[in-house]
Amino acid sequence: MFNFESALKTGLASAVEEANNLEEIETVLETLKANIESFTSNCVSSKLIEQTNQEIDFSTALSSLQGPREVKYKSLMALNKTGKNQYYKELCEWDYGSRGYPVTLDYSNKSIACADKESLINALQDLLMRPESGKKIKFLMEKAQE
Amino acid sequence: MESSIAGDGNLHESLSFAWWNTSLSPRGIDRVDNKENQAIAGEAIALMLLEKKIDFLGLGEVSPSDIEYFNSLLLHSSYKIRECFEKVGKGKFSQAYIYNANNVRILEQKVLEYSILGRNYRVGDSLIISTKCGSLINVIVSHWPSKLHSENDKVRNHLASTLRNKVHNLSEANVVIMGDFNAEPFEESLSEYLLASRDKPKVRKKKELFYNPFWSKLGMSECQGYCGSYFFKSGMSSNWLLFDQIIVSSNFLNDKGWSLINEKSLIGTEDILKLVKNTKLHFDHLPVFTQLEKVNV
Repeated sequence: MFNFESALKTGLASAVEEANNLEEIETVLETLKANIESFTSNCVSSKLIEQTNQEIDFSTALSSLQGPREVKYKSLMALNKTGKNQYYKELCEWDYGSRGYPVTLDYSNKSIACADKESLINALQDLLMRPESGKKIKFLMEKAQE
Repeated sequence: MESSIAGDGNLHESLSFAWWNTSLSPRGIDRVDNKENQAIAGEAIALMLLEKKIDFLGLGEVSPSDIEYFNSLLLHSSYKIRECFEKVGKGKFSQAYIYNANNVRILEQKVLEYSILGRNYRVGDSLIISTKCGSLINVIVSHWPSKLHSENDKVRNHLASTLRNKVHNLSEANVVIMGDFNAEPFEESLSEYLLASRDKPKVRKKKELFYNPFWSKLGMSECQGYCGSYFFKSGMSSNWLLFDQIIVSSNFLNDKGWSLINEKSLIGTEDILKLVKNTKLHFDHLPVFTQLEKVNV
């Protein structure tokens, strides 16, 4: 005699854990967005967007002569809220783990997998402190004035 | 990288990899009496490069001054050095790579980190190298946290999972993972989280697995001089542990393109074994080697 109750229970618990983690990650992203907007006097904002890369990525390059293929990935973008034209600047690549965590950020020749909220906040702080990020925010603040 | 026409009339090219935890400068910080050890290590490295015709040598526990010294030794050779001293949390990477610039080029370098509860750990340094014939290989060089703290056992499992996740399209990728994992081939982190198997036919079939040729090195060496890569004088049942390994993706078992030469997966050199056995010196790891071969029909 067998039954699937235990598997169902595990599946449900995993779904709840994932939903809770995604909600927690969303609050971090919302705080980041609010801080960027208030710091730039509502000129610049941030959001996650899905991108498609047509260039050869590591895996396709490694697989010899198959040529480029479409690679979908998420990016944390900064964008100007005002100004004549809208510009987007990628702050980092963003990848959710199987349960929301670990969230992996890729930036400045570094890839960091964050297993929890504290680690994610630390990584985002490190990202924003880098001169590359400062340059992008500055650029968008200037464009917002045009 | 060696090229030769074999008995089958085909052109065989080979590419040699090695890893050595030098123990010169743990955490990238010079020891007080570093100069003597630096000179001994420099000589051992030069010998190793020449005798084993190494194309890519990963070095662990080195400092910027060690690299400056090695650079001075290799100044007029085809060997170049790339270093990795990236800060990670309160620590930093302390590794470097000596490569034969005539045979390989380093195209990209990215450090991989794992962070939990605000603590950051080094997963590895991921390099994309290109060979003379234009193949691309992802070489990941790791030095995972030691066994001195039991909480690191779980951390190493997370590092292994993170490393796996960073390899895109594993079934098609040419990946070489080398380093001091502070774990033996049978330990959870390597066998269950990284999924580095001992079973060649299984890895050929299940391309998501890695192959770890160093499983076969668990046991006494033929020369009876060692039974592992790390000498630990306070070991309870053995003074040797096999922490240093070179692991490859299943693509290298296909007999198409680059293939692993199993019998070239080796531990140690006689010279470095003498250094490890000399308790007056700091050396406590033997280097490990492996070789890939490509047959151009």
